[in-house]
Amino acid sequence: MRSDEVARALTAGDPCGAGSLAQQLQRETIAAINAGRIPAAFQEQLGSTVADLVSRIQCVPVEKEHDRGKHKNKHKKDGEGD
Amino acid sequence: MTETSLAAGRYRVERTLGQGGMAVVYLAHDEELHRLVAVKVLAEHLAGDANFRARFLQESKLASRLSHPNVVQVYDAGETEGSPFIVMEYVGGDTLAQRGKLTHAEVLPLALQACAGLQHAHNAGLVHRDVKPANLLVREDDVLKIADFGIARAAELTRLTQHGTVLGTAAYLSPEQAAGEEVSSATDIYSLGAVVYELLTGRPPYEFESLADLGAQQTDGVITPLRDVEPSVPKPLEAAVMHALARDPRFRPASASDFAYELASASELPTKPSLATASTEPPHARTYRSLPGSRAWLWIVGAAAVALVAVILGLLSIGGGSSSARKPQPLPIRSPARGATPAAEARNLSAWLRAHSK
Repeated sequence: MRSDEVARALTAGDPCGAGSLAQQLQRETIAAINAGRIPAAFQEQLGSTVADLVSRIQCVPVEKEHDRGKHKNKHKKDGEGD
Repeated sequence: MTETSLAAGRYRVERTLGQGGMAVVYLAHDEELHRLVAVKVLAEHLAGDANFRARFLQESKLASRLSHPNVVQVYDAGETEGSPFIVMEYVGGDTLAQRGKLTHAEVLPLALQACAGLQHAHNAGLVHRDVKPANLLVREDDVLKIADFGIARAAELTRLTQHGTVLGTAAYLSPEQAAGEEVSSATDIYSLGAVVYELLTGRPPYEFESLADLGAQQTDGVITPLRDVEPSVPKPLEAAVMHALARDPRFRPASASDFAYELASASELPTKPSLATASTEPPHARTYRSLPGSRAWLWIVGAAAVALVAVILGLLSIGGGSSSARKPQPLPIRSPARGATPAAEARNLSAWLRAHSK
């Protein structure tokens, strides 16, 4: 599920990748709503939650990490693809 | 203008190419540069309006700044014997209005060219405002050119959009245009999306009796999913077109280039087609990376995942299966928990989707 991918990217310390995935999720959500494939009762919540998620993800350059984060980041880079 | 020439004899009229509510278009010969041109002469009832006349010429001059293989070149604009006219590149062939329904393989190269022309204009700060099949000219070699930049704006500025011709173009009006709100490049993207929808299905996104009817449908109605009308259209292409048709301009592709990118990705065509006529603009600059064309499969997988969730949700909604299934039931659905962090919010969203997909 796309939202899982967003969560995984964020947990792995890849906010830029997560941002891209979240925006992709938003496009897909909008397309699905426009295509009438999301029941009306769910549209508001789904649309607003996805929009909120997109707005909260900040693509911050990795160089700005704090000392404490440097050690953790070494472990988190494992398995991170492009 | 005389019967056979205008601009002091510079343009010799050969025949009438077309006549609309606003103007007559002639095929003419440029006696100085020895080439065929199309000359659009403002209709008499509009030529009498000094304000419109001035706007018409002003916007035409702005449009003349555009130079792109997918935009009809404006060569000259002027006024002769009280009749404003525009001299344009003559494009042989026909319009998309004359071509009717096409296959998605035929539509895509045309749509990409339209995106390229629009992006060029948007980069120059011009919004077309009247993208419709009749304004998309296609030469015999399948090169598409967008005509009539600036005309619609001149009409809007002088409140002339309520003339009878508007109904013929209303099918492609964006919701914000129909509501009389401010327009932007997103307006052209919606209109192009509506054109693509019609080319693929043979019918516009909304079928309506009047402008009021259209407005009501754009506010409360649902566009029939493209594949419900034409099942041969690939799902990712449906998603791209429906994205362009988003009711809220903020939710459409951020630019014509982005729309082209989505269309090309959906069709597995090169992201930057090699045609000289196709977009050479990069996708809209983002603050984070975008997916390269070679990973179009990600988009397809994503669309399939959303479609799966949506189908399951759709099954939930019609589970009642009565004749009133179209009426959404006012279920007390709770939103996904916001979460202390974006990651938590994403996980909550996943959990919410799973809960409602069962």
